[in-house]
Amino acid sequence: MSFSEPAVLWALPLAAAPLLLQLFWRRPRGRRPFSDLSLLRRVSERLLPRSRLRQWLLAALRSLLLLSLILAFAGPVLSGRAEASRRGAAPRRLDLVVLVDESYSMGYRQDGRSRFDLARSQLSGLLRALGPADRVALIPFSDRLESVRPAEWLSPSLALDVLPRLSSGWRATDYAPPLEAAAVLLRGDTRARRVVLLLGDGARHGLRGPLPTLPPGVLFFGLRWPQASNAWISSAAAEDAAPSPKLLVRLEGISAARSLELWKDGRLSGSSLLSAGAGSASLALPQAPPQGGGAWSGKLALRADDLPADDSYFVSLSYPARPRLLCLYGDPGFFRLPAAGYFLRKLFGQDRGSLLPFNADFLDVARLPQARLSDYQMALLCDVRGVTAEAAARLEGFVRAGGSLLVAPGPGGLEGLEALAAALPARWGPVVEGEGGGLAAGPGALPGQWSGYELGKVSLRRYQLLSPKPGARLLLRSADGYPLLVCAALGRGRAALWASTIDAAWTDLPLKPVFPAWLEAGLGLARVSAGAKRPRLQLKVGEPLRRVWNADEPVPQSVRLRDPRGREQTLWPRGRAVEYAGSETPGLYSLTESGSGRRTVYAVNLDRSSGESDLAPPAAAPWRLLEESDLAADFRRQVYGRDARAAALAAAALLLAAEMLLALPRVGAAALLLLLAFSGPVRAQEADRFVWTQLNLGPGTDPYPQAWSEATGEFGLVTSALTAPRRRFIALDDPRLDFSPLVILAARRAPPELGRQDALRLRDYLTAGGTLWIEDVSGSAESAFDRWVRRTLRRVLPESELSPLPPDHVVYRTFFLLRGAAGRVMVSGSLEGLSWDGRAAVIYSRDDLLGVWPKDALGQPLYPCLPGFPRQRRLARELTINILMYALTGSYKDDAVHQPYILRKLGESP
Amino acid sequence: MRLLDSVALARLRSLRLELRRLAAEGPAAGRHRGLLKGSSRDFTQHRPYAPGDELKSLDWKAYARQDRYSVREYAAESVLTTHVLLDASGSMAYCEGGRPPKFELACRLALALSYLVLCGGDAVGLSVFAAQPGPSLPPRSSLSQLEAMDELLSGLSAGGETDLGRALKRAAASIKRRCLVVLISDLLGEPEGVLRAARALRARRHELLVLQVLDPCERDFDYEGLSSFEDMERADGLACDPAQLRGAYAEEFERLLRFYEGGFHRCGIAYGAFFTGARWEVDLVRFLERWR
Repeated sequence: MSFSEPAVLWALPLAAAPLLLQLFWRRPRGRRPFSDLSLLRRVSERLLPRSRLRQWLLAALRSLLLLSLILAFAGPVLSGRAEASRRGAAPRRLDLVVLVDESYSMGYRQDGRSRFDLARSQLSGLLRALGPADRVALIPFSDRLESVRPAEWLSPSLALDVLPRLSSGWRATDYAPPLEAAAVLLRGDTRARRVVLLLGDGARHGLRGPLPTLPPGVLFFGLRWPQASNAWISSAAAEDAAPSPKLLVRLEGISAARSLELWKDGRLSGSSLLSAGAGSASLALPQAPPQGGGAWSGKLALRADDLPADDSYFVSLSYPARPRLLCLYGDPGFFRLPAAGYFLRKLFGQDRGSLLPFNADFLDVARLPQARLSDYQMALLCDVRGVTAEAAARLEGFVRAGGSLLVAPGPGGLEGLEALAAALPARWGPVVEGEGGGLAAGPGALPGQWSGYELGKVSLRRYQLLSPKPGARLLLRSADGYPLLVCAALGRGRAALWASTIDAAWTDLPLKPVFPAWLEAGLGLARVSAGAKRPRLQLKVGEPLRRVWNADEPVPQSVRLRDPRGREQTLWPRGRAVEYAGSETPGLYSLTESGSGRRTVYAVNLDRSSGESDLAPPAAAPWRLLEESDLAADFRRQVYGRDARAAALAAAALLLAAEMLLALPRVGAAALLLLLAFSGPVRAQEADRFVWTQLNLGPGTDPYPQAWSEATGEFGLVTSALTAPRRRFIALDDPRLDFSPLVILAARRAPPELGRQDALRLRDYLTAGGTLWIEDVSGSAESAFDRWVRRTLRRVLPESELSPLPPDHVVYRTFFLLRGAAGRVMVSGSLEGLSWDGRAAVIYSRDDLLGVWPKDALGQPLYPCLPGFPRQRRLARELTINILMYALTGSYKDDAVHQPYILRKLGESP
Repeated sequence: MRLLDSVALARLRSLRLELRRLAAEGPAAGRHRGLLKGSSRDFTQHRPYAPGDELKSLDWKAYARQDRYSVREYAAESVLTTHVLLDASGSMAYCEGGRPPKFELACRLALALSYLVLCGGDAVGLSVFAAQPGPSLPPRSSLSQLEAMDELLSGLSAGGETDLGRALKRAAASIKRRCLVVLISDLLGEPEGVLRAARALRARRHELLVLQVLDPCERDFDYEGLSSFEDMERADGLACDPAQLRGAYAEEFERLLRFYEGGFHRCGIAYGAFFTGARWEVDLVRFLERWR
């Protein structure tokens, strides 16, 4: 805790004043003579301990009250450092470095807006709240600094102008570079408050390594976001080995069933339904790659979630042409059994296709000059009786250019191949008979190259003695150790020499399972396949597109580039390559060569390897978290602290209230507390008071609005009943009806007919003990209201009917002893009643009893009595009071249960 | 007179000291009904003649009707002797708020009652007591007694310790004949002792009138500020905050008054509380009206 006005804290000792006063000043001020102390002493001994406790409590409360007030004036600030306001001293400046995360994970949509937009909006609010002296630096970043210019300080208003220009991109996140820049920026002035705010999602994917250390005293904040879930395609690759081409797709974060779709040229080519938790999927490509090579490009798409950027994956596949072998022979019977051609044709048969991963063409060696060797990667020279020097030179050139040559003797051995001897890895000697021990792996063979083959069972009846040249590798030897298959590099290519023929005359090798492996080893197929140029078509965002043409390929004059948004531009090759560095958007980029029209498609995807799509926060973030939903307020709390002045004042108010309660006399305090506690249900306090309740059944049911006031006033005056100074004018569905022992219905004309619910409600009220006093104020013998009353009462209480109340009915004796009824007019001269359960539940008067009550401003009766016999008004008033009393007391005058009490009371009086 | 001015006397003149069950006992004939049979116009009863009765008391008309001798008896009328016991202990000197001391009110009440007694032709005496019996005046029915009492009381001042119960016992022992005893005191101290002594007086068939003289401050305890209170009769002190004790003290004091009121009522003793600062004549009228 700190204080904005620490000087006020010097007043803290004042808080002890009440306690000191209690200790020292509360001494007797003087001596007073008193007549007798015995009574006082008794009271004092009884009350003193409690009184002392109360006094000390009061003193403590007053001390706390003063303490709270002093703290409030000192401006307490919680969880932050308050700005001490010294007179004349300017407040400390704020240097705020905002690291704006522009990675694609900031595109995560939350409440319909991306996190980047939300963060930017919150930052705007924060910047608006900064003072003009504060400084702000904006450092946009992804996995690199997005601005080439070094960060610089801006005023908050200028930063507000810059802010709309920032947007999220497609790259991954790395917090280290912007933090390094922030550290450099904040290294200078230490007088200002220095704060770094990471305006990003703060996910763990940005922590790629240890973060740079910020200068001491710098506050580092990040944003706290709600938990987010995300599913994404992490990779996709073609399964080359499969018989039918497929895409193997790796997925992460699939928490619910979703569909994975394959799109090609804007059309859906296939889909697969993924179950929750699926980690991979396999999608069949719509067409098989051609034997001669080709390409395929398209898009994989998951059903878009809150982060749609990583739900698409672009694929571009290229299928290189299979290596081609040129098989040169010299004997016309080459293809007849047991010549070698027979076996080779079986391997590279036409109808079933090649059994080996390359194709072969057969050519008479005499026609070698017409052959285009550049179309082949391998050449097999077998069963020839000799080669010309020209042919030998071509073959040597083929090898030196990168080709692979395997030479096997014909039925006449290696005679006639002297022209080729310089290119071959061994020199040869005479033909010798084989020992019959079979073959064995040579020292130059790769580990495990021949494993699985029974080399010893290969019969070798005749072979040429070989003498490997230096640097040559011996791949196979005889059981006695004589070299049989020797190879050596020549130029960029490779030449190999086999000591025996490959027909069935010298050896049974073509009949053995090892024959294809022998052929691949001899031709160096692994090297050839590895050396096959396969352009890199799968790129990450930001990686340059690069196309390099081989020496044997023609370089186009220009290349047309089309980016995912359909914009095209022309690139000009330099040397044998062209490069495009603007691949900042994921998608398919196509390069079309001018002239040939050859098209290469590059798939540019987000960098999934950094785990950017994983939005989980780090286990222990190196920054303090601010609420993204209320950034400005939380920032102020964290940086400037929480102003606790209001809390201190509230505490002071509470203490003051407690002090007042304690200082009050006990009875007063209890009364106050009771008043506060039960101030709500005041209506219950009407329960012991009579409230004039009048039924509101529509217009005309309140003929004398002032009558109630006069009547209840008189009623309270002449009887001991308590009356409430208000009336209720209620409908039948009003719940207050149940709290009214008497309900008055007065009307001059007929009100609307009662509905069924209202009639039932009135019946419930009457049968439950309520009394209804109906007053017909029309003053005529035949009135519509009278007919309405009789009709309604027959509906409400059909079990009983209206009848005149006898002169000895208790209603005439409840308070005044009356001999009959009277009213403002004398229409019937008696009361009628409807009896229920031994009492008059309904009292019906037609003499306008209420009309005698209203008075004018001078206190004179408003309506004259008719015919006006003596005491008519007085009698009517007394009857009114009797009716009210009857409703409250029932037939107690008949029971006379009260008389013994009255007599006893009279007997006790002096 | 120093204590009773002419205005007060004029107001008192319209009053009469007529109490219920008040009967006199003594040789002197007066206007009060006596307990003894004597000569007056108040017929009491017939009783059979006994040898030794005076012949003039024989009721010959009764003899004519009943044919037996009967004697007519009449109630004797005697002079009522009133003893005024006045408390002059230290607590009676208490005064507060510019009001006169309680002792002064007590003296006025004593003189007023004495005046009423003398106006009725009865005799009144005065005994002042504190720790020890003080000056006293024997009962006389002459109006000069009032002057003597005024002179005596004017020269007195309240002071010293007292034991009210003991003082009453002493008075009871000194009063031989049945008479009216008027006790004027603040009755502070031991209420049980006071009641016990009052019952003893009643047991001797004395009529008792108790006038409790108090200062309103003793009832309300409306002091302010922490103070040290010193007992006016004993060397005792108590420091307290009147504001804290006021409520409870007032309740306790009210209880004390109710105790006296109930106790005296049960004994048939007329009791009234008089406060200084009020119009004592009015209070006295009300008191006499109540106990008439």
